[in-house]
Amino acid sequence: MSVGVIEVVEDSAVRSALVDSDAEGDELSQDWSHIAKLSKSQVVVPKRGEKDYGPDGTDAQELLLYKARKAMFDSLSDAARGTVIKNLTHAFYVPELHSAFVPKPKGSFMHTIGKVDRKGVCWLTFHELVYLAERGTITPYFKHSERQDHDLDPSLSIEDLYMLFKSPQEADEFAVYAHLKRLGFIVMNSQPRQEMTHREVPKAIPSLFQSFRSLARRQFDIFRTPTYHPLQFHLMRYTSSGQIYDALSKLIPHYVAPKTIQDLQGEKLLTLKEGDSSRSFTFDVWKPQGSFKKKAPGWPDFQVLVVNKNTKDYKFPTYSEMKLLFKNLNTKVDSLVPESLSGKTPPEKGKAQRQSKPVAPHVEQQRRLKKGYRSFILALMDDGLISFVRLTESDFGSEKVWFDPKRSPIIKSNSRNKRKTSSDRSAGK
Amino acid sequence: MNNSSILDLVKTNLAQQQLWDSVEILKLDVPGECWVVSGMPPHKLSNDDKELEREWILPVDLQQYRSGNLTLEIADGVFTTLGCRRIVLGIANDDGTVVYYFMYKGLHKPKKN
Amino acid sequence: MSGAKIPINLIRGSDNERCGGIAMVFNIDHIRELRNLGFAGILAGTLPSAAQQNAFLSVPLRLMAEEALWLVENGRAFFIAGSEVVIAAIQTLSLQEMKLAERKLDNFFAEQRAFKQVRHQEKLQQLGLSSEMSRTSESLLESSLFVETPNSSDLIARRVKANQFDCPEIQRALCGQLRRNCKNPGDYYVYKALKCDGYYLSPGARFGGRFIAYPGDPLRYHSHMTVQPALNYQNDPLDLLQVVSGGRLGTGVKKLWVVAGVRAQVEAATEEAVSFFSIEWAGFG
Repeated sequence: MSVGVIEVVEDSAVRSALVDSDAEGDELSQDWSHIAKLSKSQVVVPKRGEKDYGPDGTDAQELLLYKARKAMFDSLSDAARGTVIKNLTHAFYVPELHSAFVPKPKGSFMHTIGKVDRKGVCWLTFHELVYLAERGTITPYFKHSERQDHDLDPSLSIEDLYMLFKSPQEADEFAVYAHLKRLGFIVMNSQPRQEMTHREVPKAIPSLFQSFRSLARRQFDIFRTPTYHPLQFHLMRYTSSGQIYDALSKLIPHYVAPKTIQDLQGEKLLTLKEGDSSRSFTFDVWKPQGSFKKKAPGWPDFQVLVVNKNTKDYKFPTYSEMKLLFKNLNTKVDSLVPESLSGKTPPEKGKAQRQSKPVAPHVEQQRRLKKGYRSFILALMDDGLISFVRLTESDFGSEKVWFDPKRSPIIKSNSRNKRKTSSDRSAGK
Repeated sequence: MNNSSILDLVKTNLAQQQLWDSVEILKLDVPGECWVVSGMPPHKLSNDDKELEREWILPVDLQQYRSGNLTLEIADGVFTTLGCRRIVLGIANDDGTVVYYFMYKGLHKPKKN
Repeated sequence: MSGAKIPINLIRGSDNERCGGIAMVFNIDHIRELRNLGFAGILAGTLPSAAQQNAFLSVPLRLMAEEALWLVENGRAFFIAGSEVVIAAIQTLSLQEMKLAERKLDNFFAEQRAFKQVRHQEKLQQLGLSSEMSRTSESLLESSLFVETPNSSDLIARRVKANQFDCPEIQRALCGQLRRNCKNPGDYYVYKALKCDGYYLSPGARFGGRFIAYPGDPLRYHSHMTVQPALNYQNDPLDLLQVVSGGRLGTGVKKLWVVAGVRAQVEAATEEAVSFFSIEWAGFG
């Protein structure tokens, strides 16, 4: 509410106190605009108009600018924040806990927001409180610790709520939270790392053998290091180009991205202590879904890390930080692994398994290279504008792009032809 | 700034690939081995240009892991010495290709179309 | 336009002098005033009438640190910082003030009732029905009264009035804290120089820069330039790889790629201490 409006309210308060009951006739001539806006139901978002190259000093341009600004500010002042008494839901902010409780929760937000404690009280995190207050879904109050009843707890404005953020970082994270919520995503604070590993242990134990195997494979790789020795080329006899490519590929050490659940679990067990990471994910994000359960949310679709690029201590994640983030990632496996490789995991229920046409191996390979494997989202805050960047682990080293001896000759010649034509085309450009 | 090692590369590229006329090399009277290439382009370089003019190209070396040594102070010096409204950065890559960028002193407006 | 200074909130929690804060404005009239002064800012709050979109947002308005600094240093605005302002305001809230707030709400309801009754009667008259209010419609009216969550705070306004936030020592200290927390302190000089030239500026990461510069209000005019983070005029080399990628991107979106050098030895740097260069793809090679 603007200062101007407050003044009007006070003004009329004085007047109605003086005139009291016989105010009816007087009220009619009053300016109703600030009351009338409350009953407007239409959604007014100003359209993006055409833009000009630059100001040319003409009145026509001035008028257009005036109109555009008016449309914008009308939309802002017409959108009243709040709710009618029938739907009124109070939330009480408890400063000691930096969260709020809702004595009589109602409304569909309960589906994805809030946590009910043992006493049956619904608690909102501070992000949830501010988000719901901004929508007008709940009405925020400040809880005085010494008082049992709520009669003297003052109501809070949006300005009050923002000032109660604990740090700029928390306010930035809220901006990302609200952005994703407005798009319909389900967003929760990421769990601390330890809880997550705890969740994982029962799953990992049966595959202990697997991880030993991957350990053994690594060992085996180490035994092969004589490949690097110059003598190798005197002792070894190459009888096919495949052998040459194979030997060449061994000269280049590369990181192998984990691709299956077994790989992932093996990696978790092998995780060495790499020191405390200063970075951990901010949010777990689920795509909009009707069947979501707060108590058993399942694995998130995305994990998001929020960073502000304009503060002094900002640094883009380093390679080792990224590696650690990938290692600590806890998202749905199907979304990480390209379909062709996740064959071992049973298909999701409800999803009709569409039998698509078999794709040529080299096309599939291109897809693998482009899509990559594990990924997380970096939400980069730039003074109010958020850029979402997806960082994906890719694995070029494991792909035989130039020559694959395992490919059958027919497919090989086929794919070669195709590649040739595509390169012909690009050469002809 | 010493850009003598890529002078010939940029000169040849301008004359042979971009088909510029009367391409020549000259040394600038600024500290260090700072050279420029000048020449006449085959057509107007920008729609906003009034007429075909002699252009000044400052060859600079692009290296992957080492930032160059063209500071804004040096660029300013080049502008002052040549007394022109724009120079063309001839950015030489390590594979022998050269790419060209206009550099204007001060704030310049983009093309209207 | 009023001559009074605009309050800018620094969102930063309590006792957080290390981290500057996020500059925000909560009053629509103040936001309009800022717009007329050439500050667009970024609206960051949910628009209650269209809560499921991000294209057009509402209060609060978020300002860049550079914008906020300019406004305060030029006497157009002053900072209010820290959550303790709210806490203190609530702790010192008197019973009388609570009663006043309650009465204000009651009056707001009374106005709504009156408005709705007039509307109701008008409708009944149009339909030719008796104008007596039935009981059910009365309870219906009561449950349809609107409870507003205001944008700006009466609590804070009262506290600010009583505590004289706008004194030079406090403001200077807050400006210093905000400046020290900027990633690239030179950017402020670049901002000032462009502001002086009449440009509207907005955050530029979307186009790979620190700022985007518009020749007029971004509502009506296309932006002309992507401004890079400030360089040290004497010492920082121009990153040619950035010139190539930024120059191509800029040419693609019809913006010039602008670098600015700030002279190192100038302590109290003025506009002349910043040199601008504009770069675009030459169209060949």
